[in-house]
Amino acid sequence: MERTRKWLKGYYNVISKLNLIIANVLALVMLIFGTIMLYEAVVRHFFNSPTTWVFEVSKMAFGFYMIWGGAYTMLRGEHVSMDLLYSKWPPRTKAIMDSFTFVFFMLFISTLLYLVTTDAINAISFRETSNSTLSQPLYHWRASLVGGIILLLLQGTAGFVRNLWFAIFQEEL
Amino acid sequence: MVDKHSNKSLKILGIFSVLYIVLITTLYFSDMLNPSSTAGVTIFMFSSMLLLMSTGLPIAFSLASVAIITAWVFDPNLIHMLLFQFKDFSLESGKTLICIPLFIFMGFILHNSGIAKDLFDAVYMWAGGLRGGLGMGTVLICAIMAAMIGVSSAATLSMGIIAVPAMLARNYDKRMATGIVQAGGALGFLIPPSIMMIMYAFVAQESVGRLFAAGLVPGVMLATMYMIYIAIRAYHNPELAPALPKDQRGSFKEKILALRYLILPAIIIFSVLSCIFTGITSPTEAAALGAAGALVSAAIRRNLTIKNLRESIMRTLSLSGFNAYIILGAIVFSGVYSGLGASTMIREAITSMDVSPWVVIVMMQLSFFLLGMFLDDIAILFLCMPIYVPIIKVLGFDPVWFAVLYVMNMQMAYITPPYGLNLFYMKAVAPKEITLSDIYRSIVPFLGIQAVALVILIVFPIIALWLPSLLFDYFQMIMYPDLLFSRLDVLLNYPSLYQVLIENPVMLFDAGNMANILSNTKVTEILFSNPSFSDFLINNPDFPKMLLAEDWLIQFPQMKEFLTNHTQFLDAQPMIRELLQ
Repeated sequence: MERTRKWLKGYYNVISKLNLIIANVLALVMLIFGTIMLYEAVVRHFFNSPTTWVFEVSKMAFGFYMIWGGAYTMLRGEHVSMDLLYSKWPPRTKAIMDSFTFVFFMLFISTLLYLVTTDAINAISFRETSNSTLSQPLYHWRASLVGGIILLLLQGTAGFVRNLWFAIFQEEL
Repeated sequence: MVDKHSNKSLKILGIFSVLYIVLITTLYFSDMLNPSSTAGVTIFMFSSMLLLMSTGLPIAFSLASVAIITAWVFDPNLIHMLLFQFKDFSLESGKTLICIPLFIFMGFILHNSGIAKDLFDAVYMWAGGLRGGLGMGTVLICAIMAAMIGVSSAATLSMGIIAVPAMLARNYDKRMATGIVQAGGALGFLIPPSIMMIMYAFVAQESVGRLFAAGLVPGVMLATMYMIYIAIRAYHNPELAPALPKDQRGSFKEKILALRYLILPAIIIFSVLSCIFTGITSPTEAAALGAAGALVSAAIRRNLTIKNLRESIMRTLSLSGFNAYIILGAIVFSGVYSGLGASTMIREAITSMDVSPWVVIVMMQLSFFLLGMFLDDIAILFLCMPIYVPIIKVLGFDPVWFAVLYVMNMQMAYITPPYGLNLFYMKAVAPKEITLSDIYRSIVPFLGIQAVALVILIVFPIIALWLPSLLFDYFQMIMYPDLLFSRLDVLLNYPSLYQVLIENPVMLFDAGNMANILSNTKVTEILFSNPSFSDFLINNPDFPKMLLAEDWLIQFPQMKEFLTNHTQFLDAQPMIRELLQ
């Protein structure tokens, strides 16, 4: 019993810590695409030499940033919900309800993971490139998005473990 | 007390679930659970969504999982909609939506550098002497903050912390004080840069610049209406919002000094907006510029600590992650809904209905308002707009104007219970003596003003549309003449643009361009009836050469008519006279 608890607590802490560390690095991606867009604006206007790569690269960086960001939002509990009824429940009721609705979260996230993974494998197999003039490889990037979804899934299960423990034993994990 | 509340809200959820089961069973037995029944699909999707959301599951996941379940029930192939929308969102949306994290970041940096406090101090000095001055000043601050920060919560939260206690300490009526801050906070949607306008631009494929310009005038109008309301109330009833005592008003020197903190933010706002409005940079680059400007401004004010920077980028990340999944959830939901054919059915039903288009507009506004009671603004945008915008276009309305109406409506939704986010923010930061019922009542007059403004905008679309049209149809044409030749219809609204044509004879006397002008009957009519333009044409030596080289006399009847009216020209050009006959 005590051992299970230790394991589960360890699981929660490791996942949260992992996501926090990743988020700290990920947050810098925004500064990077902001900078390259600024660079593009400057060289186009003042040096009259527009780049070909900034548009594509910043779009890809943006997609990566947004998709990977979901796990950190989950960690902070900032995926907005309609808490009109929810906010009035005692903590245990909330935990029970969250453990139940986790089913729907899993339904969504595992379907998404399955579809995106098969698509990424497909993209790798025929070495997908972008259909712009640059036609740079896209498949690494497609595959990288899978990572963001896995992180969100892990953070979701970590929260679930915590909620379930609280719902059953009425004490913090 | 707590138990009683929780019991009640659990009971409500229980009733919802029972109702839901009854509803779905009814649908099942009346054989409406198949893709050909639009009503069945609609009821199934929306009731499942509402039920799932009321359990406290985040809206993003509620929408997405309902979409997946619906796909299973009705048409399993539609599961792939999830992948399709995911791919579209993660790659293609970037060209518009990339502004969002950048504008959010810019807002957080400016916000963390203590701008709200400085603004309030300046207003305190300048407006304190008037009855209701602090209140009007707070509206003004909210408008300025709206121009720096694209999200509504920031102004409400910071003014709730700074301005509400300050107003209460000066004996302002508590309902007046909280109402001002909530209504003012919602201005962020309308006044550019507005995150919601960027999202609308993405859904409706409109230009971000135009939408920003369209929001500016109504935003200023609404802020002015709030200020007038406060002034009138305070003038007639000074106890509601008294003026400051004389010794607190500050000397002239203090007043001037209080303004120095406003210089940098003013420069940032001005440069971001002017870059977008003049088309010097794309809105996305302007967002990057604004973010960089905010960093520089914070550095100059010595507020750019590692802690501030870190907090800003982390909050930006969290908010972006939230946006990503709620957008994904909503587009998957509306994708499945359209995939089942429901959108087309609705569109056909509405466009074939024999009612005035205005009835449709009003119905849509009502639907926004009702949905706004339960749903997040982003979710409503991505749910409704894929269905509504095509209808709007078919009915001959301007989607840019419709965006302004939508945003006005969301402002109202933000301060309307039960799901009014500004109410919650206000409650979270308001001083203890302000109760929830105070907050609810405080918004009533402002809600009324917003409703009036909405009606004004519906009746006079020109209020929203004149600025975007002036900027993008007039000034940009003067700056970039080649644009004019691809969008000649603009000449119908701005006949004085003929000067752009005259000033660029090389482009004008290009055979393709001239043929374009001549093939547009209305434009030709305007130009030929303009004496300066026709004089220019007649007197230019290239014109007769082109007339002889191309077959315009035969192709375009207006040309023939035009020339017969200019006998002098024909006298000088006997060959053309011959051709004419």
